[in-house]
Formats: sequence, structure tokens, C-alpha cells
Amino acid sequence: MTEVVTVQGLTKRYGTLRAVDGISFSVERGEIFGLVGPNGAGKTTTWEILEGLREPDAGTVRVAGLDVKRDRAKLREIIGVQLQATALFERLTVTEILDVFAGMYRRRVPTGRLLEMVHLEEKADDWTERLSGGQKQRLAVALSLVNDPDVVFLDEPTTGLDPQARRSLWDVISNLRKTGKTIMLTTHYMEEAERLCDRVGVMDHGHILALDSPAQLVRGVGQRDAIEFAANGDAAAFAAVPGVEEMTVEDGLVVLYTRALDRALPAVFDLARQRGMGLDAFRVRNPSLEDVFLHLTGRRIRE
Amino acid sequence: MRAGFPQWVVANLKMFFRDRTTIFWSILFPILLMGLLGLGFGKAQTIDFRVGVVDEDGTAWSAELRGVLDNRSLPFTVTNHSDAAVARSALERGDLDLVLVVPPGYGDFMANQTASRGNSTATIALPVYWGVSEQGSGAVAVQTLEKVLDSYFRARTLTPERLTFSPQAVNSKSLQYIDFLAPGIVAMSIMQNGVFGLSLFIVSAREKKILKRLQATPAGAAYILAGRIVPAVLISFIQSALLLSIAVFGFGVKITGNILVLVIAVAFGALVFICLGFLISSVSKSVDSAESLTNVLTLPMFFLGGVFIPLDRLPDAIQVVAKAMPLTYFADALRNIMLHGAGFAEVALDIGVLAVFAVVVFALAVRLFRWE
Repeated sequence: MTEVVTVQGLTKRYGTLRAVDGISFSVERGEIFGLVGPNGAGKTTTWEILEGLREPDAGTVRVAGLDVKRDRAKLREIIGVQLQATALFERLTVTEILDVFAGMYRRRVPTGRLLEMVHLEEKADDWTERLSGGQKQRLAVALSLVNDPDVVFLDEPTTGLDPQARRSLWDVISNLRKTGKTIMLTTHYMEEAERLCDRVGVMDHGHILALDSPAQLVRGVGQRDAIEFAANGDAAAFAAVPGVEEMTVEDGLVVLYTRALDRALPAVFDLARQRGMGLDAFRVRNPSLEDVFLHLTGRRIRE
Repeated sequence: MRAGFPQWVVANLKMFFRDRTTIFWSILFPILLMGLLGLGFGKAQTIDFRVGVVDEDGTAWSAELRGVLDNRSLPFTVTNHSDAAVARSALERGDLDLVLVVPPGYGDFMANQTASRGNSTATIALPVYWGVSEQGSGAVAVQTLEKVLDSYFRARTLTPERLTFSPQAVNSKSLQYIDFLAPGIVAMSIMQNGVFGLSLFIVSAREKKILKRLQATPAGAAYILAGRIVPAVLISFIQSALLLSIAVFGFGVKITGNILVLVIAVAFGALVFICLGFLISSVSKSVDSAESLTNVLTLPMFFLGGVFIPLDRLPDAIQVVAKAMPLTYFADALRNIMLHGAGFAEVALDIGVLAVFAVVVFALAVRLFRWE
């Protein structure tokens, strides 16, 4: 395995705010590497430094063997970029805009092939202003692939999309894995990171709190199930329910962690009945990255 | 340049022609303006008589005479010419209504008259050329001039009869308002297209982060901007061709100058305003502020840049302001080429000013350019 991305001690300040605070990680060729975290965690800033769009205040960053400061021109030839919430030229067709971007690179993928990769063949001759949100995002991903890049940066590609459009984009990204490209993805959807990423860095307030495969991260918080509900009253007593190891409450949403679901579940219902409390939005989940973030920060990622 | 550059230029042209608003303002609006003003005021005559004075005498007396004519209360716009032949050809072209030649010996004659208190019997004749055109304004101009000089001599207690005119009619072209207007409208629409086309494009692309996305490609700022500037210049040529066709075939305006010189002038004018649009985009934070700044810069030029009203009709203070505006030089160059058949040498000063303007503004715009 060869290292494609190496980041060491990367720091970026905006005034007194440390948007990125001395993070280090490396990514190997062909990996899908994700950063998950809430808005303002520093994911976008990190990606933009790796793309050569921002100057870091400290640290070294190498992408595909290139120093992102000194070899900026070479870097741009071999990376692909999808920026968070970029609009497109409205009065160009899908094909025209792909051709315009492809013309800016030395290496290029045939436009027909790109359309196929993102399932936009039928929209080839439509102006981009007529595309749906999901189609626009797929086009943005196609634009990041016009130069057959070695490393592709995707910054929250599915934010704001409905579930169906999101799944469709996941298919596109999963298929990219087969091309052997290294894919760098940020998201604040835990499900997305679990499904797509080989390894995930959990980021908050400019720090990477944990970094591993999604399965390992989840294992790290213990093989516990989560009982989740919205309590319309004082929920403190639920911490003492038999079998419950840990409880978090945020915005009225109670999460109880247990390794003994068979004992804990009836006890929760009993307690609720005794107190005359309703249990809204009740569900039981297997542990997920969601819980990893909750465990690491005491907060949940808001969508 | 990368292989994709022509594609990028074509894409920008397509974006222009697919946008109805810009089509209206860059193409239809100037056509309407020229059509309406041409139909409404096309045949209107200029009010002042344009008098060219050729001072071959060069004494204090001849200078005083020029001063008498160049008086605001008189319906004269006086220009000085050193050569009678040049002044006459200006008359023939329709640039002047009247040419007055002050021959050598005029000063001596006047000194003699004054010394003898009008008793000297010497006489002198001042040649006057006046243009014969459809409107016959030249003849009226001669009468007016005679009256003015008559009262001047009386006031100086001289004998006006000893000073005579030798009026000579010269066939001259009659210029109408539409002849004046057409080059001005071409200049104005090139200004609008250049300034708005570039400034709004860049600012809105920056607002939508399209510029940032382009920054992440290896193309570079020069590639991106040139891909927008080349089509803008092409559109200026299309605009000029359309507007001039209407002027020529619809209103009978004659283009006397060399088309190649005209094309060169249009190219320089287009560049100046494209650079100005670029500068506006570099200092504007939003589309709204770019639009306001564009209006603040173009509206004064629209009214004072010699498009609708000749510069010499404006008050002196305003003329100073007008001379700081690129549109003034551009409109002047186009007008001289179209109406007076000026060659490259005669408009070189105008084009030089435009070139300097373009370079300075461009350098400033590049310094201040931001991707996001």
C-alpha cells in the first residue's frame, strides 16, 4: 500500500478561532477516507488546504507525493474537486459544462463515459438550471472526475438531498471504488460514512477525536444497544433502570446504552408507566457511528 | 493555452445569447434608442453656427477680433485654424458653417484706421467662406457675422464700410443629428456591454462559488478571464455591425472613414470598458453593489460622454469632467472616423488615451482580483 495523502500537524486559524488544530492522518491509495463531524468542525477547511485552495498556518501536507504549496499547478492536474454547495453555470447544458471543465486539463475522460458514471445520459442536453438537486450534485461529482484524477475530494456531496437522491449518489461513489481512485469524503451523515468509507476520522472543533474503520470505531464504544426516546418529563430516573450502563440526554432525546436489552426494555416501560410519561419517537438501535460521536463529544451531530 | 480554450470561449458566447436580459440591454435597447431618437430628432439642426477663424495676420488686432466673435452671447462656436485650406475642407465636410479668414495686413489696417480716426481711405476685404447645404444655414451665418462686425466697428468709431467681406459659397455636406448620434450610440452600447458583461459575470460567479471551483482547476485566472474577454469583444463587433447597418440603411448615415480603422477603434473601446467591468468586479462584494457601481460610473458617461450632446455645448466645468471619461474619447474617435473620414493618425490620440486607460484599469483590477 502506498500513502497518497499525508497530513502532519495541520493548523489553520481564522483570527483567534483554530478551525483546524494540529491534525495528522494519512490515506492510502484506493481508500475511501471520510471525515465526519458537525458543521464548523473543520472538515471543509482541511479539504480546501489539501486541494491547494487555502494556505495552512502550520503543518505539512503532501498529496500524491506533491507539496500542496509548492507544486500547486501539478497538484491541480491530478486531483478532482467537488466543493460544498457550488452552483454551476445555469445556461450551459450538462455536456457543455463537462466539456468546458475537461478542456482545462491535460488528461480527460470522454464525456459520454462521465455521463454514464453519474447516470445523467438522459440529461446530457439539458441546461443545468433544469436539473434537480440530486442531478446537480451528480454533475458536480462528474466534474470532479473529468481529468481522471488520482485523488477525488468530495465535500458533503449529499447534503440537502432527499433519501432517494442520496442513495443514488452513494451508488456513484461506491462504483468509483472499483476504479482504484483515492476518495476523500466529508459528511455529517453517519450512515453515509459507515456505508462508503474504509476509514473515518471523527472531527470536532478542529480536532480528529478518533480515526479507524467504521466497524472498529463502533466496537470501541462497546457492543451496546441503544434505547432512544423523547421523554416529556424528568428523565433522570432512567439512568437507574436495571441493565442500563450509560445515559445521555440532549434536547430532550434520551439515549440509554445497555448490553442486556431483555432486562432493560421492560424496566423502561414500567418506569414510564409508573410516572405517567409518554415515550415519543421510541426506537432501539444497534450501535452506530452516531453513538461514537455521542460517546466522544457528549453531543449528537445535527443534520 | 490549453486545448479547451476555444470551447470555453464558445461556451461564454452561448451563455450570452441564452440570456434574454443581456440581449435586450446590449442589442435591442441601443437599437430602440437610435431608432426613436433618429426618427424624432434625426433631422434637427444644430443651433450655434460653427465658425472657423483663420488668423493669418497674427497681431493684437486680429486677436481682439477673435475675442469679439468668441462671445457666449453670440450664436457662434468659434474654433481657430492655422491653415485656410484645412478650414475650408472642414467646411466642405459639414464640420463648420462658416470660415472667416483674417488676412495679413489686417492689424496695420486697423492701426491706421484708429490713428486716422476713420479718415484713412484704405480698405481691406476679409474672405468669408460659407457652406451651401440643404438647410441654407451658411447664408444666415454670413448675415449674422456681418451684423456682429458692423457693430464692432461702430463701437470703435471706425467706418465699417471700409471693411468688406468677400463671401464665397462652398458646397458642403449637411450633417444631421442622426449622423452625430449613430457613432455615439455605438460607443455607448459597447460601453454598456463591456462593463456589465464582465462585472456581473465575475461577481455572480464569485457569489455562487463558481470562481472558486474554477480556481481548483489548473486553468488559471488568465485562461478564465480571457475566455470571457474574447467573446465580449466579439459581441462588441456584432453590436457595432448591427447598429451601423441600421444607421446606414435605415437613416442614410454615410460612413466616410476606413472600415479597418473603425474596427481598430471599436476593439480598443471594447477593451477599455471590459477592463473597467473587470475592475468593478474586483472591488464589488455582491452583484447588487457591482450593479450600483456600474451605474454610478456609466450614467455620467452616458449623458456627458458626447453621445447625445456635443462636448462643446457643455459648460466648461462639465467639459473638464467629460475629458476624464473614456467614453468621450471613444465616441470622438468613432465620430471622426465615420463622419469625417479620419485615418488612423487622426484618431491616434483618442486611441492612445483609451489604451492607457485600459492598461491602468486592467493592472489595478488584476491586483485587486479575488477568487472568493
